[in-house]
Amino acid sequence: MPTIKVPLGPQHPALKEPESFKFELDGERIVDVDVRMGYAHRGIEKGFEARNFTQGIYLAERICGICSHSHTTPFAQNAEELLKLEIPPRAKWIRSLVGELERIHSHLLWLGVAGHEVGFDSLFMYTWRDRELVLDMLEHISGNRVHYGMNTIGGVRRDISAEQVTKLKEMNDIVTARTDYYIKMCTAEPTFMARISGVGPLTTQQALDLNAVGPMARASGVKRDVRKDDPYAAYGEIPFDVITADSCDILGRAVVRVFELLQSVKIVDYILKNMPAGDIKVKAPRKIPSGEAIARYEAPRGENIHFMKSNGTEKPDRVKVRAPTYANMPATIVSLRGGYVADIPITVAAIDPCFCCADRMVRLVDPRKGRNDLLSWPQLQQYSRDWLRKMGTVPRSERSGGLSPIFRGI
Amino acid sequence: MTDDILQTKVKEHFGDRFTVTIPHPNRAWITVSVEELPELAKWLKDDLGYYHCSTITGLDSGEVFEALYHVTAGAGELTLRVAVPKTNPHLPTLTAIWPGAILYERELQDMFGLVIDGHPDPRRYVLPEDWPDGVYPLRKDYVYTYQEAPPAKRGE
Repeated sequence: MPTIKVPLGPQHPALKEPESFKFELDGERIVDVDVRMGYAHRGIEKGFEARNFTQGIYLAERICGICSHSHTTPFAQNAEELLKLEIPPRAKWIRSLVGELERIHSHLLWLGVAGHEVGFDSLFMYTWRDRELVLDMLEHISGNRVHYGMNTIGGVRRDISAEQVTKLKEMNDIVTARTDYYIKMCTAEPTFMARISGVGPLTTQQALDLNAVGPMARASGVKRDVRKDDPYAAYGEIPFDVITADSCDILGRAVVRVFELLQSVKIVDYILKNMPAGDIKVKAPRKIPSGEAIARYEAPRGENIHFMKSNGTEKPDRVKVRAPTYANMPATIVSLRGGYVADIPITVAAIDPCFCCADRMVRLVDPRKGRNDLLSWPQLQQYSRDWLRKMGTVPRSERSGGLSPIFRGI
Repeated sequence: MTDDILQTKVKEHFGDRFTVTIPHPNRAWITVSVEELPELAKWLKDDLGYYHCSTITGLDSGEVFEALYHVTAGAGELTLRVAVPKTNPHLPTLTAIWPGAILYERELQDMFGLVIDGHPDPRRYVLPEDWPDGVYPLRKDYVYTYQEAPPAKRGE
């Protein structure tokens, strides 16, 4: 039987983000996958070159909506390394604290998405309810739910007061109790385990060869965690374990994440009890001396790498960012091969993907004629206007009235 | 792999051909020529266990393009610095050594116009298909022209 090709996307099969998969199917089996990303490449690396370092830190915050702290921390670490600036110990501990709170809410979000993708919506509702507690606390200490703006070059911008520590402890106790429940759920609930066990396989050798990072690699038995291997912020002084699993499937990725949740709440508890007193930042000059620096950060999804080159001015010469989803893409393709169509959403969701991008092109495949057209933006606009006229509607651009300028083009 | 073990091993195996510089703890750098790159990369992976290629950074350094291969074996990050002339920017593919580098090499082609010889899948990766040929956004001669939109007025 000949194989058939099925395009999926540019809308994500699991999350509401654009990237496109082309599946080659033999019946229900996936023979091969081709992935196309870059739909929403925002040109952030070029954007860094046009902004000064202080503006850059806010741009770095906006690389990702979930792991925003995971991008500002390496950015600030690079700038501090080039400035030979030693930041106060309390600032390091606050960075770790916010980093762990971010990991907790990110892993809870993932657990909810995974539950949803396997048809376990009660889990989705429980985890997202508990995630709100963490987001509320992040708002309480930073003023924002996701873009905390805590980091600055030379330290952090806000201190944690004694009253905030009490509230954080209360929140942490509730989340710890809930984490125990989720651990039971991922290690003893038979239907959930049966659904994801053996799905999306990735052997240890494949994880090594394809340079997988984060929970994806750790669930295949690769013990890599930047917090342990190359400690930054306060992680050198905080006791915690690196969680691995050897089942090499989605169950392993779920188990790794729930046990990491437990480690994270323990780290938060330790930080709240042992955080040193003192200043939270040192003053950093606007101009950064010439040089090159590399920073690594263990984001919830895996390792983040930032490279920074400064030429002695107020603006960086080059900033390179490698986010974990990018590194996990080759491994995802391998884990999809040989699986079933019904497993596509959960397998793609199992890497906890995060495609931070905006659409720029559309691929149209007409299944009856077998036509495969690429539309540029003006062609797409024309196509949508023609389609509206055919449907008996006047396109918005030809209507009169006070429309917002961003809609006027369509 | 700690810094001093790496330095000793490179010295033992290559003598004075390569110098490991360590400007910062856990951040080692080796400058290597294009011809010697595959040999060094293969040795690093097979003998020292540098199985993980974290990413490849492209740099437009005025006279030349540079590619920085960031590789790691657990603890430290080692960076291989390769310079290629702007007139003939060719690099060999390292996908046989680090299969995970496949997408980074494609990104390098898109963004800097470096040609990766022998790449198994040299299609575009980041840029759209209707992006003009020969325009490479991260080169310094590509001018950043984006202007911030003025703040919206009330009632618009």
